[in-house]
Amino acid sequence: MFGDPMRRLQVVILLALIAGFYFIPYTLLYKTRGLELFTYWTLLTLVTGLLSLIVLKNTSRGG
Amino acid sequence: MSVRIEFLLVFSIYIAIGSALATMSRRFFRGDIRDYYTGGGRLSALLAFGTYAATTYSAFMMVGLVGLTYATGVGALGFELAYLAFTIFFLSTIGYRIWALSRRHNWISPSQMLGEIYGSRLLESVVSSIYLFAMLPYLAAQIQGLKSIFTYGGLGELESVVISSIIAYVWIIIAGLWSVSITDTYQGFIMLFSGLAYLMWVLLALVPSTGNSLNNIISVISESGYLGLTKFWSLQVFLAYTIPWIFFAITNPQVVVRLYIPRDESSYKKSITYFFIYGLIYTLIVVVVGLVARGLAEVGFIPRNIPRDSVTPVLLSYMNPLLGSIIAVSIVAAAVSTANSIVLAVSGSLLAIIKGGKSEGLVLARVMDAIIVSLAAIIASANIGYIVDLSVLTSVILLPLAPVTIMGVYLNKKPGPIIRYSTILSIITGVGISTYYALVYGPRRAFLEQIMGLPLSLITLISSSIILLGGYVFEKLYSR
Repeated sequence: MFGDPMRRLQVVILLALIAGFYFIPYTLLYKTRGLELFTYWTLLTLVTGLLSLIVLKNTSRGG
Repeated sequence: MSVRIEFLLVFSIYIAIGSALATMSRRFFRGDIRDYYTGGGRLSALLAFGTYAATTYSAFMMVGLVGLTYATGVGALGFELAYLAFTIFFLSTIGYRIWALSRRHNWISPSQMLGEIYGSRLLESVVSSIYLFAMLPYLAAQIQGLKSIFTYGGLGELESVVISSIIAYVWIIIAGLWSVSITDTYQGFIMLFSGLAYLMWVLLALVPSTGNSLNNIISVISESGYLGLTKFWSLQVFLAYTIPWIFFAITNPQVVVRLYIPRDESSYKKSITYFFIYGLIYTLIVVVVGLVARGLAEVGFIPRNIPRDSVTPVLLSYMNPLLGSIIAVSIVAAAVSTANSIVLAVSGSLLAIIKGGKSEGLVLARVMDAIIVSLAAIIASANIGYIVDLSVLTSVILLPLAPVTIMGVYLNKKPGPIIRYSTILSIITGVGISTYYALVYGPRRAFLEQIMGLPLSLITLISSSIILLGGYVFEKLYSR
């Protein structure tokens, strides 16, 4: 599993994206006062969760 | 306060159904130690998901997180959803790897897993000791958090501690992980549906009864700044809260051990998908309730300075007693389902050391479970700090296990002595740092304390990772 360097890179990029995007509010959404932050974090979780599930779906014990 | 009849009725039904399910689960139980701690790796997707969800989401959600959102605003959503996103990521990558390895090794405990991967009995013993040290306060917090809920039902502190400890213990000893997973799944659904009922009541009954519309409440929360990043959620505080939690899935034994239980690949993958859906819905429910509570405080319907852990009990007092009792019992369910999983995980790690992989020892396992529950009940009676901070500090203490687990699971061959000793040094250093600051500042302050401009959790993680990486590099150089 994850023996393929491209696949390993894919996983590391996904991890970096998740980490980076959760902190975006501290630069771009710092001043917002409406529902923007609520919506942003909810949609971000939905997208990153689905991406992780796609990685899981394409993972097998041999591959 | 007199005993609330509705609470007693709902609570009795909850216990009766749970006990019936636990008893029924005995038909699946084969009576050996591996089955007692991991269900023999034979659980369906539904049970694997149910026990994972109910174990992960404790009374912290309906009590602590509602209060945290009420007190600090939408930043609490970012913190909790970051936890969920990283958990799904880890479960989809390293978690799958752990599940696949567990099929070959038949582990009953994560400490045993680390000990075998690194070929070190000493490491196994160190990790087991840390579980005991870190998980007891977390377990006690589960029991302690129920006092205010039982008070709602008209029961006293002593009854609260005794009753919750007995339920947790009995549902373990009936059939080990089988009775725990079936009652967990049952409790997980109670938690979700009660959460939905709580939200519906807040939005459709409570808010209109105050003479406000939902739009009005949203405007008020927005104007008061609680829909943005409040002063509380500085970047350092966000990091302090988030870092221990994002590694929760690979550091906390009660959830790591749940990676061993799905019966096949399909069950594993389905259980993670179900957990993601559950986690997202449950988190949103809890945070919306907390935000609306803040709105109601801003319009003057409830006080503005309610202690965090009292927000839900205050809201319960406005509810119809039957609905309030259902919500209160769902909080008991959340705590019990987390508590018995912790007991089982800690006792499994201790038993793995004592019995060294032998399959007998059920009596000893049940005795150890009783000792752990009793110790937690005693600690709970001593009244220790906020639920939120206690839970999060436990995860800080367990953080050094994250790099050790990640490296160990991806190692291609048995490591040499330098890596083996560096894992132990890495864990002891990380645990030592967090414990030192907890002793010096007290758990709550230590958790948010900045050391060289960084939160304690980040310092702990970096220190452990550097030592581990150093050991890896040295061994590579030495083995050439």
